[in-house]
Amino acid sequence: MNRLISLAIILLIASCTPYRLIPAGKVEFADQGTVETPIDWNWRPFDIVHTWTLDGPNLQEMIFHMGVKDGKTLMEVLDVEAGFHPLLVWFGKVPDEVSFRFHKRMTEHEIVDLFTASMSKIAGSKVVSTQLAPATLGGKPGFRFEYAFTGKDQVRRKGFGVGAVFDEKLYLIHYVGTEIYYYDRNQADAERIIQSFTFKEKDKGKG
Amino acid sequence: MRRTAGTLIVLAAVLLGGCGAQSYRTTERLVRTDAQPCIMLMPPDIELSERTAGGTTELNAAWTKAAEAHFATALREHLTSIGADFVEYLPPDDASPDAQLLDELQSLHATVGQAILEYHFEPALRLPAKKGQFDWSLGPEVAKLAEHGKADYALFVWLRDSYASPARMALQVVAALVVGVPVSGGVQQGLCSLVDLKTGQVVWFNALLPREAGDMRTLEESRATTHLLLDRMPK
Repeated sequence: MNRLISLAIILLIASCTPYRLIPAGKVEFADQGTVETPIDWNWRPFDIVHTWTLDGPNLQEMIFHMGVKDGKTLMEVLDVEAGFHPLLVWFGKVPDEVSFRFHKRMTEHEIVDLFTASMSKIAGSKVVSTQLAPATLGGKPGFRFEYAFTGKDQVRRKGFGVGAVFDEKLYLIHYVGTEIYYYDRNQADAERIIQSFTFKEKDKGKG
Repeated sequence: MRRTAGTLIVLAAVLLGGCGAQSYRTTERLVRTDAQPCIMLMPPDIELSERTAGGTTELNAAWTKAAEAHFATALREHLTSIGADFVEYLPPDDASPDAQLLDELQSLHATVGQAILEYHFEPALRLPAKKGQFDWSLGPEVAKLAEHGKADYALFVWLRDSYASPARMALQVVAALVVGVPVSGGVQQGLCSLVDLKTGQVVWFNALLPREAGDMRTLEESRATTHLLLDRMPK
C-alpha cells in the first residue's frame, strides 16, 4: 500500500513538470539513438524514460526506453528493492514482492511479460499483450507486440511496442492511446517514428 | 482499493493545487452554423459519496439518484431561462452497441476534461506543440450520438460530490480544537463540455474545481451548482 502511494506521489509530481517542444525533424537520445518525427510533439523526461505526447499522457503517449541494462527495471520507480527504506533493511525486513527486471538473455516472450507486468503497476490495472511477432528496431532483430488495458478512469486504451536487445541492453519504444480517437489519430506518426529509429554508432560519434 | 482512491484524490488535490489551480474557467469557441444551434443533453455522469473519517469515499446510490433528478430539473430550468434550444438524448436499448459507446464517451469526456484542466488552463503546464490553441476533441465517433436526437452539439457533464460522514465531522471538530489542524470535509467538482456532434470537437468547456461547498442532495443547491457549471455557456 505504501509503495502504491509512493508511486502515486511520484506520478503526480511528474504531472507538474512542464513539457517542452520537440520540433518535427531529427531527435537524438543522448548517445543511444535517433528518430525522425514528422510532426511536433511535447516531451518531458520521466524517471529514466523519455515520454512524448500531443494532448496529454492520458490521451496518447510515446514512451522510449533507451538502453535498459541487464538486471535493471524498465523504470527506476519500479525498483522495489532500491525503494525499500534502509532502516527497514537494518531491522531485517524485506520487501513483500520482487521487482520485474530485464535480463540480457530474456526471450521476446519474457521481455513482453516484463513489459506488461511493469506497465500494469504504472497503469494500476491489468495490461494484456497480444500479437507478438518478429520485427526489427534500428535494423537489429527484435520483436513487435500490441497491448491493451482499461485505466482507472474506465477508458479503454491500446498500444503497440517495438523492441530489440542490442549490446546487452533493451531498447523499447511503445505508443499508447485511448481506443476511441486518440490512438488511431496518431498511430501512423508513431509507426513512422519507430521505423526511423537508428542506433547511434558510438565509434563514429567520437573525434 | 477505495482507501487508495481516496488517498490519491487528496494527494492529487494537494499536488495539483501546488501547480496553481483556480476556481473555474471558461473557454468559448462556439461556431454557429445555424441561427439557433440545438443542444442535445447527454445523461449526466454524476456520483455522490460519503467521506469517512479515514478519508475514503463510499458511493451513495440514493444521494446519486436524487442528484441526477435535481440536476435534470436545474439544467432544464437554466437552459430555458437563457433561451437555449435543446433536445433530450434518446438512449438506445441496453443491448445496442451505441449504449456502450455512450458510457465510453462519458468516460473519455472526463479524461479529456482533466487534460484540458491540466494542460490548457494551467499556463505553466501548457503543451507547446499545441501552440496555444484550444484544440481538444472526443473524436468523430461522437457523430453516432446524433442518431439519437436531432442536434448540433452535445452537452456532457461530469460531476462528483462528497459529504463528510458524522465520524469525519467529529474528527474535523476534534482536529480543529485539539491540534489546530483543519481536516477537509466533502468536496464538489465538475466538468462540462459542449461538443460538436459532427466532428467531436470540444467547442466550450467549463470546470468547477474542487471546492468544499455546494450540495447536490437539495434542489436549491443543485441550481447554484448547475448555474456555475453552465456559466457563460454559449447558446
